[in-house]
Amino acid sequence: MSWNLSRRVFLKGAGLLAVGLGGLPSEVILRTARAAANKKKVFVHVFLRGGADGVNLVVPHGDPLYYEHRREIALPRPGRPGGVIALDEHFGFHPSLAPLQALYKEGRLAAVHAVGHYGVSRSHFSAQDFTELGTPGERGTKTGILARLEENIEGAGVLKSVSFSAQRPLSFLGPEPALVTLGIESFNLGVEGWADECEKRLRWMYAPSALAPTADQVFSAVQSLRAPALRNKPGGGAAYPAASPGPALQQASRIIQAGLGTSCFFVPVGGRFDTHSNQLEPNATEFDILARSLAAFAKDLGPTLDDVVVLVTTEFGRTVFVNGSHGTDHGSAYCALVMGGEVKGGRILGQWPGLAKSALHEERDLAVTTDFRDLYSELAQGHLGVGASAKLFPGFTPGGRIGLFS
Amino acid sequence: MAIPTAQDERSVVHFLNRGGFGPTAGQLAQVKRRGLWNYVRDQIEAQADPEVEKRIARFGDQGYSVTEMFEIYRGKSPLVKKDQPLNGIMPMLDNFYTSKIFRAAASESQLHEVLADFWFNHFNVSRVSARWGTIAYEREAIRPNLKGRFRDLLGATATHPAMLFYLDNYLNRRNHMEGGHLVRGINENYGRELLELHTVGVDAGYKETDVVNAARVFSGWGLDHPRGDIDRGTGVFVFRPEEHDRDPKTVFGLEFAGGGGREEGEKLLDYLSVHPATALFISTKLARRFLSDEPPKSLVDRCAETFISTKGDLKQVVTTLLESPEFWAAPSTPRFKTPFEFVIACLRATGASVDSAVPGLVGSLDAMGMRPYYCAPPTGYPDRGADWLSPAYLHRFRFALALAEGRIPGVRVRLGDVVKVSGGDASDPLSIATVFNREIFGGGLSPSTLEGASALALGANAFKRVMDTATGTKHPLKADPVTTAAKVVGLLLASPEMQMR
Repeated sequence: MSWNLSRRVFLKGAGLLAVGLGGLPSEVILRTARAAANKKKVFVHVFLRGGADGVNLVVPHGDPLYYEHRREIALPRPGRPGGVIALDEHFGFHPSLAPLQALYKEGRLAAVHAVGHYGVSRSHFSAQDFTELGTPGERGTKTGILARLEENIEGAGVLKSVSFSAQRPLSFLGPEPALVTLGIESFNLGVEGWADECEKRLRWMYAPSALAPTADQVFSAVQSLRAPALRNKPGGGAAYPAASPGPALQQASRIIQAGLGTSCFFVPVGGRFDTHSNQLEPNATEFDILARSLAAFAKDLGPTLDDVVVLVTTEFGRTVFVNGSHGTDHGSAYCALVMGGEVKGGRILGQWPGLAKSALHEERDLAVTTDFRDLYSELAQGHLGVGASAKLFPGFTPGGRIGLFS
Repeated sequence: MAIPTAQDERSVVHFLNRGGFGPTAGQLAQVKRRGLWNYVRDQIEAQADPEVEKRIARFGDQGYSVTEMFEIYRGKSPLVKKDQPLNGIMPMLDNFYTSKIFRAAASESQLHEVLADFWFNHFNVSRVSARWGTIAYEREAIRPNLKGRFRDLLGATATHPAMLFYLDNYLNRRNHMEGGHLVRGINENYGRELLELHTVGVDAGYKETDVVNAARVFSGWGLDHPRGDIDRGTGVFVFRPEEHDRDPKTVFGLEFAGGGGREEGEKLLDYLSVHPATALFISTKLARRFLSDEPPKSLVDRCAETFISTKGDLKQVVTTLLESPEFWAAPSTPRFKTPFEFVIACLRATGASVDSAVPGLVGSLDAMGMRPYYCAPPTGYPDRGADWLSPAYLHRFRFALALAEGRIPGVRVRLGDVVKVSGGDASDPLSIATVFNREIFGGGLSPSTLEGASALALGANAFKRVMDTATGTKHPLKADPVTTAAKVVGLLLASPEMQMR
C-alpha cells in the first residue's frame, strides 16, 4: 500500500509543480503529469471456463463444516504440510496461490466470495453464455457484457477490445469491432517480399464483399501490432507460465505498455476446472498456473498496475459436498479475485453465507450473496469511470455495494 | 420430392461445397458426366472410400482396440519393441490427425466424411481428456454408425470407454453413506450432457431432478480397471450391479420401477433416442451444418418428421435434407466455413498431397482455433459459421498464402500441374484465375476477386491492362512461373468467396 500511495503523491505533486513554476516547467515533469492525466484505464477479465471451485480457491478453513463436507478433498489446515495459507482466522488461500500472497498483503488483491446468480443454470454452456451476456435466463440479448461496458468508454478502433481466443466471445458480442487472436507475434500475412502488394490486393478483393468489415479489422490490427514496443521483454524480470492465461496476460501487458488504446481485455482460460473427479491434482496445477500468471502480470506492469484492474471469475461454483468420485459437481456461487493498483485489497469481500446445510442453495451449493452484475457495475464505476446511470444490465439496478475501491 | 434437374455449374459446386469439403479441379466435369442427382444418391449411399482406407491402413497403427492400447501403454504388448517402449503412442496420434485430414481431403465419399466430422463433434470427446481412447472411439463408435439409426450411434458412444472416461460416467456409482457422510456416489456429468447435448437439447424443458435421475440410471456403468488402477484390466465397458442405484426414479417422463440394472440405461437411451425433442434438436443441428446458421423452420420440421416416422434413421433424415427445395435454394444464403472446412477446401482446390498433418496443418488449425480432437468442452466446436467470424481470420490469409507457396510442412502442392491439366497457362495470372474460377468456384468469383488476384494493376480497365503482360510489361505477380502461380492461387484461396460455402 505504501508504495502505491507514494507513487500517487508523486504524480499529484508533479502536476502541481508544473503549474507552480509558471511557464517554466521541466519538460520531463510536464510530460509525466500529462501522461498521468491521460492514462487509459484498463479492465482485464480472466474467465475460467468449466466452473472453478471457489471453496477450494479461497478456503473457509475456520469453519469445521468445511472439513466435514469436503472430507478427502479438504485442504489441510494452515501450518500443516500442503496446508491452506491463512489470510485470517476464517479464510485462507489454496496453497497454489502462494505467488499472490504478497499482492494480497500489499492491498492490491482482494477476493469476493459467494458471487454468482441462480439464473445462469448449472449447464456450463448456458451459464457461460448468460454470464457473458450479463442477462441470466435471457439468451436473446444482442450485446455482451464487455461490449456494453465499452459503449461507455471513450475511444475507438479494433484494438479497443481485445480477446485472446479463437472465436469472438459473447462478452464482446455487438456491432463494434474487437481484436480476437490467440497470439500477437505472428499477426501479419507471413509472406516475404510482397507483403504490401499482397495486402493491397486482398483489400481490393474484399472491398465489395460482405466480409469487408472483418478484413478491415484484420488489416487495421496488423498495422497497429507492428509497434516495436510489443517486442519488449517483460518488466521487472517477470516470468510468465507457458500455460494459459500466462501468454495472454504477457501480451496484454505489452499492448497496455505500448499504449495502443485497449480498454478491455477478455482472457478465457480453458483449464481443468470442471473437476467432477479427483479434484485435488487439477486444482493444484491450474491454480498454480493462474497465480503465477497474475503475479507475473503485476510485476511486469509495475506502476502501470495502477491503471489496470484484473477480474477473475467463472460461470458457476461447485457443490459444497465432495461427490462420490473425489470431485464436485456443478454448483452456484463462486469466488472472484480482483487485482489492481487502485483496488482496496488485502480483504475477503462479500458476505459469507456459511456452510450449514440450511444455508446452502438447494442443500448442495454455496449460496449466492453477491450478484455478479454488482461486481461489474462497481468495477465500471470505480475503475473505468462509467457513470452510475449507464445501463450496463438490461432490467437490473445495481444494488449491493461490495467495497472494491473504498 | 424436389429433385434438382439443373446441371448448372453453380448447383454442382453448391453440392460439392455443402455435401462435401469443396471441389477439386476436374470434379465439376466428372459430376456432370455422372449426372448431379446420381452423384447425390451415390454420396448418400457411399461407405468410406476403400482407396483412402487402404492408405491409412498402411500406417499400421490406427486399428488397435482400447485394450491393446492399454497394453502398448503399459509396454507389455508384443506390438511394442523392447528398446522403444512408448514409441507407439505419439506417432499413433500424429497418424490419427493425418488420417482425419487425409480422409476429408482425399476421400471420394465426401458426404461420409462430412458426417463423420459432424457426428464426432456432436458426441465430442477431447483428445486431452479421453487420450488415445479417441482413436478407437472414432473408429468403433462413430464411423460405423453414420447412416444407421441414431440409437446405434447413441448406444455406441454411451458404452465406449472414451466417452465413459471423458464424461466421468465410469465413476458414477450409487451413493454410499458411511457415518452420515457420502463416501462415493452419483456423478452427474454424463447424465447432464446426455440430455443437454446428445439428445433432447438444453431447451427441452427437463429439470435438475431429471439430470440427477439420469445419472442414477447410469450408476454402475464402469470400466474394467480393477480397483480403479489403469495399469490393470482391459479398460473396456463393464456394468457393476452392486454399484447400481436400484431405487425407483423418473427421467423426463420415463419411469423406472426400481430393482433394475444395466437395462435401465439402455431403456433410457431407447426413450431419448426417439423423443420428439431429440428429433427436433438433431434435425436443427444437421440443417445448420448443411444449410445455414438459421435454417428454415419448414425444413427442420420435415427432417424431424422423418426422424420420428423412421425411428431415427439417419440416412433418411439426411436424404430429406438433401432432397429439399430449401437445400437447393441455399446458395442464396452462403455460409461461412469453419476453419476445418476452409483448410480442407484449400487442400482439395490445390490438389495437395498430405504426407503428414503434424505439425503443419494441425498448427494452422490450432491458430484458427480448431485443432482437431482438442475441443475440451463436450459441446464440440461451434457449429454456426458466424461464431468463427473474427480478426482471427488473419490466420486464413496466412494459411492460404503459405499453402500456395508450398510453405506448409508435410503438404505438397503442384499448382502448375493443376492449372495445366485444366488447360491453363501457369505463367499467366489471368489464365490461372480463369481456371480456378471455373473449376473451384463454378464461375462465381466476383470481378474484384478476379482483378485483385490476377490484374497487372488494380483499378479501372485492369483486365485490359493484364493483357499487356504478354507484351513484356512488368507484372507485379509475375516473377517466374512458379511464384506467379503461388501468388495468384494464394490470393484466390484467401478470397472472400473461398470462405463461404
